[in-house]
Amino acid sequence: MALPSSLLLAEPQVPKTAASACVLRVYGDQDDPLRLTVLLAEHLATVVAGRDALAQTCLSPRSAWKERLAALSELLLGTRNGSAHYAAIIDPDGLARSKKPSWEDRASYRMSQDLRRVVIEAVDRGGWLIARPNPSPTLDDEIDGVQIEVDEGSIPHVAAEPAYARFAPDVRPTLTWLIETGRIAVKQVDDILEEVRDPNAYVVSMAYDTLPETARIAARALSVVRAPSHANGSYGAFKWADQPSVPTEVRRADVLTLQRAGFLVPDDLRRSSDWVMPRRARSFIESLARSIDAGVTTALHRALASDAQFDEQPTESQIEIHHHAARTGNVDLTRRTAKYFGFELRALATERSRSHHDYEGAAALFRDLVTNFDQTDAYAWEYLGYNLALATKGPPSDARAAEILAAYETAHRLDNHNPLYFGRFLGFRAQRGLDIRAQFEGAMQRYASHSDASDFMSWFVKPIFDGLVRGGRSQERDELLHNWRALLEWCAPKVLEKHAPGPA
Amino acid sequence: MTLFGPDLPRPNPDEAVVYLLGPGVGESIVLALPDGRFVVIDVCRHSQTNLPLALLDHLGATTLELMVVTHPDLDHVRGVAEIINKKPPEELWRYPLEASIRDFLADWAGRRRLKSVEADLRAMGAYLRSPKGDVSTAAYGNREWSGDAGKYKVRALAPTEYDKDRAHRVLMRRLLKNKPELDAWLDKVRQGASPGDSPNVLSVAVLFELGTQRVLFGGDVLTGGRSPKSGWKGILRLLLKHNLGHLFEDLAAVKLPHHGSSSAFEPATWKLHSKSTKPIALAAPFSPSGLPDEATLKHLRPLARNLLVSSPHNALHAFATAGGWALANGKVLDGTTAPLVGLRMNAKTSTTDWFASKSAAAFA
Repeated sequence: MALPSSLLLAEPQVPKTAASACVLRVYGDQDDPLRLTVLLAEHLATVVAGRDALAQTCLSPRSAWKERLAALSELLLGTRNGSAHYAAIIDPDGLARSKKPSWEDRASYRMSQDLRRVVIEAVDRGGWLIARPNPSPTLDDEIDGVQIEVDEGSIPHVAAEPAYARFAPDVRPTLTWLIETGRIAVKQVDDILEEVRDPNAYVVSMAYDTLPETARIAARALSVVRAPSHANGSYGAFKWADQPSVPTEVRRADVLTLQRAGFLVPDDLRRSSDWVMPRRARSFIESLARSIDAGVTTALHRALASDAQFDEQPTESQIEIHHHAARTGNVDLTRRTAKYFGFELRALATERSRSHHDYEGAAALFRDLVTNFDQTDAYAWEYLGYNLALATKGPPSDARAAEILAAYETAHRLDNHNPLYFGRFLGFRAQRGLDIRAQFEGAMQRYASHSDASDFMSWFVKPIFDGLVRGGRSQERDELLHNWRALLEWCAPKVLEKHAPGPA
Repeated sequence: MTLFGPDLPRPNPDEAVVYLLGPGVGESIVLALPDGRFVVIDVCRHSQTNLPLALLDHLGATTLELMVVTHPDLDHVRGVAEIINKKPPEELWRYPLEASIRDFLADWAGRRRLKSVEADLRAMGAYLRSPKGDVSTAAYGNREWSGDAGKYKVRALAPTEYDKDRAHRVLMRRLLKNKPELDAWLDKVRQGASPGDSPNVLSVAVLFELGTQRVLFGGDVLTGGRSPKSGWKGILRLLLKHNLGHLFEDLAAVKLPHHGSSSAFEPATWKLHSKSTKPIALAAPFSPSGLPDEATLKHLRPLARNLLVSSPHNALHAFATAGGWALANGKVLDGTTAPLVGLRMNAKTSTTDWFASKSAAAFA
């Protein structure tokens, strides 16, 4: 029987039972599911005997996500007995983002859902510590009914004002600092709760706005660092200096200000001298840094992405180096440091295509992803086909056409609920003179009854009509338009406007 | 040309003097207090002259005790850096999100080689690095400043948390857009396109109390959106919630918010301002948009005893006449050419009188 899991209600302090636990911290970034799977599997290989092959599946860059997840689940089943906590997860709510994901974020969103499910099942079996400094309703629902004990000792001290308790634990130090330094009046706390849409995000933003200018600059610089860092004479790779002269120097006084203001908090579960920027604050400040100091931010990532002695680094550091490499935009470095997964290369490929219109270069990166990394990455297959098509001037050669068609077809097979992937696949078939009629009619009937019929229909129909026109099959396009006009008028008016302007 | 003549009222131990400067584009208020201290709310220029700075020099002010920058519109901030450099205030209240906006705009201006804009913004940042510079964001209910043994008080009444949140969300949407889209938007704003109502949503409003008399300086606070929590409606709602509704009652004077535009005229607040006595209305016009506008002047007629406009625009007299106002004679300063109107507030008698320069307009 395993030790029951414990719920810590704030940034945690070291419980005795967690001395040798694997501590996972969610950063709220797209690579979280893969990063956490790798780190957890590596740890489990040391506590669950004879399961090296499973751990290897989780660590291999070529493993498909579903394979990794299945291997992780099986590894976790091997931890049924134990008298100590074997794993801790800080801020799991970062895996439960409530916003509808963007197109590029969908894969990470789904993987986060998958990982949440596997971790929560393991938590239910015992042996976990969970700290929730930034609780979300989604995770509240998901852990409702899970066997977990609240660690009473972790209940954070709430100052005299009961209203403080209505703020998330990660925001309370910042709120306290705002009040203690006279930046806001105590009586404003009620007004904030009553008048503001997201009081937690608001407090972070207002506190940032009242920091001294040099502390804001330091906050933006330190926000590029995700991992907890030792703070004593330096903060991780950042040196303390009276007069910072290079991007990797910060003033000690600014670090102290950020600590007092709750923008850096102790990460006692790992090492007592470690500090970390809480997820909510880092997400906000890092976005500002990318907007305000893009050049400086890239230089910092470059400085933190050095791959000298990469192989001697612990896994967690290797993943961070890879993350920084990806943020520099340096494809070669990112590729070289992609030891466990290639997910971060996707963004670079998309950037090449979207911002630089380098479609051949983007296609090469996507081809690399589906060849040498996760071969079940539907997004990478889709955009391999899409970028090859964009890179092709005039009619494609037979070999090029076959590669495009195969890429589109694979993407559709791997994610057959995606109307855009299906539409592009059929659109390219149409362009190549192949039959699409039966598949088109079948999909239209299915999508018509879908709750997102309008979006689905628009994404599906447009590439098909475009493909028919490019393939010289306007008459067939007109027939389909005629047959489905009523539905298209309702669900895809913009497509209709382009392909059948004017009244019926 | 002499901007300020010898008969320009000066404060004395019983009196505070309010000067509203506004050449037609731009607005600044100078408060000369009975104990010889000075407050400046916003800054404006007239030709090459920094009006509040020139007035402070004329009045012999060697120090500036409090400065308030209400919101980031050029007609309220042009010349701020000059004042900060020449008469560094002991305390500076700035609008919320000032730092985030400044960091961002300074970076953008620097990248676009708009060096003078960048220098202005950085100068303000340099001042704010002083010990007091980081504790002075002003908003509803969070700042009070008093003197002369409590004889007078200045307090911030806007923006509310609700409006700060609105502005914050708009700003973040803008800031977090991709660079090319953001640059294109900023270029449009630089070329004159409206940046939306975000700057005004952030506007600080200030209440000055001298004994039992109160003057409201409305910044560019607007009536707000549909929500009862926004704009003047929201401020009134909070005052009533905090049992401070009396602060809005029977005011001695009101500096019309947003240069006297209809979008800043809130009947519910004016009902309180003129509950038993009518205040004096002061306006710094915004001539390009014809502010104060005809509708506001009409609404104000039964609610205010006088209307003082620091520098009239062409249509003003027609608007005022249509609204039922007539030119008022007397109390016009000889020798003062600066576009200004003002108030003498007597603490002993609890009375307030007005004065105006020759280039201003006074109505009754």
